Formats: sequence, structure tokens, C-alpha cells
Amino acid sequence: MAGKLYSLPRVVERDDYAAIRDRIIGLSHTHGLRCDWAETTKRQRFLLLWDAEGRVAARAIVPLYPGETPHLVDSLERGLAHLFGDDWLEDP
Amino acid sequence: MTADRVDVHITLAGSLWLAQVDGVAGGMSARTLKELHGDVAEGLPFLFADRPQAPKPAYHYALPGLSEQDLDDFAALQRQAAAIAEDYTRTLKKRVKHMHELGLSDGDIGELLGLTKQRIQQIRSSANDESRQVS
Repeated sequence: MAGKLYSLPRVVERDDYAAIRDRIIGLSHTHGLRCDWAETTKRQRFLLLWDAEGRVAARAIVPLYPGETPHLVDSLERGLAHLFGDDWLEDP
Repeated sequence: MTADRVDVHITLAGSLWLAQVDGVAGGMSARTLKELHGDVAEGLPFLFADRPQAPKPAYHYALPGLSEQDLDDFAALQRQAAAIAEDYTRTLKKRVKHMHELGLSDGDIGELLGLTKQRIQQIRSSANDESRQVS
């Protein structure tokens, strides 16, 4: 059975939650990671990234209003760089 | 960060409170500190779902002109104040009881302790209520 193909958007707007989320989902599939999301608070989404062996590869908090909190977007970018590489939010 | 505690760093950016959790990418924001504390409590069990028990947050606040030591000192002062208040209440009840047993009127007890007659009556009344509940 063919798996769903994810294409990475060329441009990620750093103030667009959906664009950041889609980039994370796309990169996670590329790196063989599984995403678990929790949508329990008003201003952020909690995220666990699991590797193929069932270990937590990263923990993240993704701001829902990144335009209001660019500092948190920078922190998110830095915090996931060990998985996705530096500048993973920048244009490829 | 230890297994049972995780450091949470809190700052204020404009009108938003921000929280960053050690070992977690990104961070949280909220309009009020209470909301932020609630979101941290909500998020930690999920973010550390791979652990038998979610770590408890150890908050660290960085605000202009207010150091962590300032907050720690105030917390220590609060504990001292609570201990003094407890000692004051206990001692006051003991003195009132003793003077009442000596046959002093509530007015005279108040005069000796620098309190009103009504306050002495209130203390004796609450002491009676407590002893009734115990027996």
C-alpha cells in the first residue's frame, strides 16, 4: 500500500501557525518520526515526536499565534534543529 | 532538570507572559500568569508522557528590576509571617484562658493585652467552640 506523500511547502511564513505545523509534519515523515499533538490550550499546541523505536525524539510547544510571539518561534526552530537541521523553518 | 522536576522560565513580553520549559522546543504564552500556570500544568503530563510520572514545574521568573532572590526572600518572609501569626494566635488563646480562669473579666483581660473586650469575648467563644468539637 502506498503511503501518503508529503511535500514540503517552499515558503514557511514564520507568523503562520498552519505553515509551521505543516512543515513539522512534513519533516517528521521525512525523518521517520511520528507526531502526537495535544490541542488542549488556547494559545499553543503540544507536540511529541516519537522515533521508530518508540522513544521520544523531541518535545515541543508550537505557538498558535506565532506572529505575536516570534521569540517562541525562534526557540522552536532551535529546539528542533537537532532533528531537522538548522534553519529548517527557512526556505529550502 | 531532574526526573521529578523541570525548570520553567517565565518572562513578560509586552502584554504576554511567556514560558519556556527546559528540554522542550518552543514555548507557551498567555494573557495572565494564572492562565500560563494552568497551561503549564496542562501541558507537562502530555509532554512527558514517556515518563511514569510527569515532572513538577520549578518556576523561574525573570522580570525587570525583580530578581529571583527577591521572590525567594519574600516567600521566606511569608513563611516567617505565617509562623509568627500562628504563634501569636496560640499564645493569645493561652493567655486569655489563663486570665479567665483567674477570674478576670473580659474587659480587664483586654486592658492587660491591649485588645478590646469584644475581641476577648470572640477568642473565648471560639475556644469554647473548639473544645466542644473535640469532646
